[in-house]
Amino acid sequence: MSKIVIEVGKQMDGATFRLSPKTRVFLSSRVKNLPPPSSVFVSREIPSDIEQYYVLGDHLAMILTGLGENDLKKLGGFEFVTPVDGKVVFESTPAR
Amino acid sequence: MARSCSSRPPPDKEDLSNRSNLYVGRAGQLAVMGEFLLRGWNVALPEVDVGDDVFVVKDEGGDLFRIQVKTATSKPSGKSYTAQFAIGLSQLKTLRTPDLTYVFAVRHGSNWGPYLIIARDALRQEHELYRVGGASKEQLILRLAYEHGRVRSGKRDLNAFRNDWSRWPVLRDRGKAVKPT
Repeated sequence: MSKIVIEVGKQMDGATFRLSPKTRVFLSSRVKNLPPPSSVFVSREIPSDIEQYYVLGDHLAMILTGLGENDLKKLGGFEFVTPVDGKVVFESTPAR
Repeated sequence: MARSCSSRPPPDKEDLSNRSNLYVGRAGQLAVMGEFLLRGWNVALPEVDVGDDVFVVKDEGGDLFRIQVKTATSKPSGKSYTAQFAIGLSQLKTLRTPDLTYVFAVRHGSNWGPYLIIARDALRQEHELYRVGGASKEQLILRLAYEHGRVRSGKRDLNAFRNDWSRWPVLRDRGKAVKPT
């Protein structure tokens, strides 16, 4: 498993974020107290491109996994993917 | 003026089969809507069908659920029976808020079999992690077997989703007179 995959669904009034099924299985074997399956919806009053959510990436990954910034980096970081076409819309900066 | 129907050819077998499917599909949708109503939840139909079959709404607070009803007619298989459903893979992978829930309704003889009620994400997980259903031409073909009061797909037991109305508990003051299935 290379990176944590967070799936994105964009709609007119915001976007929904959720761990991919395979990431969830991967994390459940390695992370104690993994939060129960859930999604996060970020509301936007003005329609926005999905890339505009980049600034929230770290926060969303932490909410969905329950992990801190360092733990996320140790696991290889994360990427945001649109599940229908598998396109990576943005990803965390690699650890230095 | 007398009407003439001579220009319209008689329906062939395929036409009749398609028409029959439409009737069964609609009957399944209405049966599922009836179950929600009996539980005290309001229902609405989109004027234009672009994916969602039914909106389910809690009158107080306006909580909204999106429901996709899939209907099939049973085929006997020994002492049990099977039913086959097709789901768009694109729809199965599309993440939205509120998320979609599938209700699989099977017409068995003169009754409805148990409903299989499964959230989109859970069905996708069953498909991707446990190989439930097979992908063909952008569709997930789901073959369900109903036997001894249980539901499975292949070897995978799906009984946890059988008549799982837990997200829509019976609301007080409504649906009191009749016990839903």
